Amino acid sequence: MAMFGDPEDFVVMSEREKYLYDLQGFLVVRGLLSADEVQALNEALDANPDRTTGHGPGGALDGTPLAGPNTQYVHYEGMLTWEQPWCQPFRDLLAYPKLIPYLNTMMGRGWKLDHNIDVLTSKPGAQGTPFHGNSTGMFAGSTYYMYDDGRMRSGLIVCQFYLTDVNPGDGGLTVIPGSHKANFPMPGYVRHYEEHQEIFHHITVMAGDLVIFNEATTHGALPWRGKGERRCVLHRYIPKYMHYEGGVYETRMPEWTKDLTEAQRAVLEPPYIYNRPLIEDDGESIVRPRREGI
Amino acid sequence: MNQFTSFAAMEPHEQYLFDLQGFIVVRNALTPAQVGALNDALDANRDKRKDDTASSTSEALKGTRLRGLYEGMLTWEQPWCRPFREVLANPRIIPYLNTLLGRGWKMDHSPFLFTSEAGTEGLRLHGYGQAEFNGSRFYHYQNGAMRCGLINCQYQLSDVNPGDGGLCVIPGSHKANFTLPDDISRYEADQDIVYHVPMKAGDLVIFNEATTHGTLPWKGKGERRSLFYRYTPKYMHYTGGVYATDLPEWTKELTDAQRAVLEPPYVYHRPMIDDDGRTLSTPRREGE
Repeated sequence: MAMFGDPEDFVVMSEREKYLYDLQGFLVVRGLLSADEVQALNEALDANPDRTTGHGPGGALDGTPLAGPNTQYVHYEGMLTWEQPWCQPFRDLLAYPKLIPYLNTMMGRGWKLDHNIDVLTSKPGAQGTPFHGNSTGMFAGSTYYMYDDGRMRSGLIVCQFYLTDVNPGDGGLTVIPGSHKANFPMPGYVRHYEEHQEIFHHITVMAGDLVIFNEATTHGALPWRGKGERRCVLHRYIPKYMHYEGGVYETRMPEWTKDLTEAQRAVLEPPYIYNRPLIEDDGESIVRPRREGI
Repeated sequence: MNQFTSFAAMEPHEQYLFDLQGFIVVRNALTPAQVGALNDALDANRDKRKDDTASSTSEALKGTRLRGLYEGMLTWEQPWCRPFREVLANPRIIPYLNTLLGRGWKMDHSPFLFTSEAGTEGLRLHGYGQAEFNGSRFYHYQNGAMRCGLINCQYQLSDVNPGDGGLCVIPGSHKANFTLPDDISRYEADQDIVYHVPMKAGDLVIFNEATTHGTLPWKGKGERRSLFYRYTPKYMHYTGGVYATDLPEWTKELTDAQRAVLEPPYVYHRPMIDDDGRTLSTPRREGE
């Protein structure tokens, strides 16, 4: 058991990987998935073309460098409960052994899945995604990067498993290296990639590669200009004591809580962020903003 | 997202004190009527008293009795549950929780109450500052905003006078960068850095779980009655609580390791995946 000041006595990232992730707020792990695993995941998607949803129409970013005529993403949904054999390659990624050293190092042992697993695809002409991350200059206990005495800790992190290649100039995931440690609010021009483009880094990968980035690292996507379809599987992980949204487990409030006021019930709700009931200053009324006060 | 919505917050001098010391005393957080109702409820349920088994292992903190522990007050029969339910979203604590946790805080653990009579033992000091960042128990300040992980709200239902014993803290220890020495934890060295918190019935002390805190043996003439409510930010869950959780039926098709990844958030005895990616271990608490 790792105690204060002791080295962590479980499988962890290499020293080189620690240096790179601490420095940049993201890490590329080459060749994580085998060719067979990539093929199984691609075949599962090919067999389920009707399990998709759009991400809003294209054109919403017109007038910015992120503009494109097509929707930024088409998502696949519910992969963990697709019929066999199509669910299996996605289930196999949940506790993927090669991922364990990274999650142990970034969050300590006892991490968990957050959100639901996602597949992002983009066709040529897809618009980009506005940049976001450590944008307020204030500490957010759910999305952060901290370092103390040789040990890194992160809040929500994103693992993108690539199923197709991303070549220079193709677009897709782009980050601002080092921004997980930024102390000042993100300037407005960063959001739409409008100035200082030299501080951004477009990540090129091959199918089978993994990109891990901290949600606090400023990230977004450039318009997709690749020849083929962009495809990646997204898993988000979070330390064992946290929950951001979504997920597989179900929650119930016991019957007796119906005797309580709305505010009292709100205090007893499980952990989550979006549209949570927040108690107003009078201690009685409730508001449900999409996200506030992290 | 709107980080700058206006809402009730701590006064500047209160923010100074909490940031400086890692705890703050809020006078008269409960009215005399509330204190009376809570005490009446306790008096009517004396049969629910249990011994607290978290016994001290320190010579300096030893006593002849164990602390009394009451739990489950939110589901005691009416009318005894009612005063405890009213403390859940006590309007007096809203500015403090908003400021320390951001809006959208939640109850963690379940409410419980400690009692002590003269001769009752103390409890070792614990809470480890910032010797290593722990995302569930921390204090952080950035650009004018304080943020905490788990915090404790301890309401006194009877007076705690100087020299009585009960809650003690090490002011400033929520920012400590070095590991708490074991002899200080046992209250056997440097006792002058430990501050006993005297209070009146109805007062509240809020302290960060990362602030080093413990309990001195009780020497008061009357009975100590301290009521604990713990809160965490809206995205966090440490242990206990009221809501129930289930994993859906289809997850029985998964391996133990895969199911472990899908479990709800909690700390104690969580299944952790060993290095082989298959076997699990469930230590009481590790790797935060």
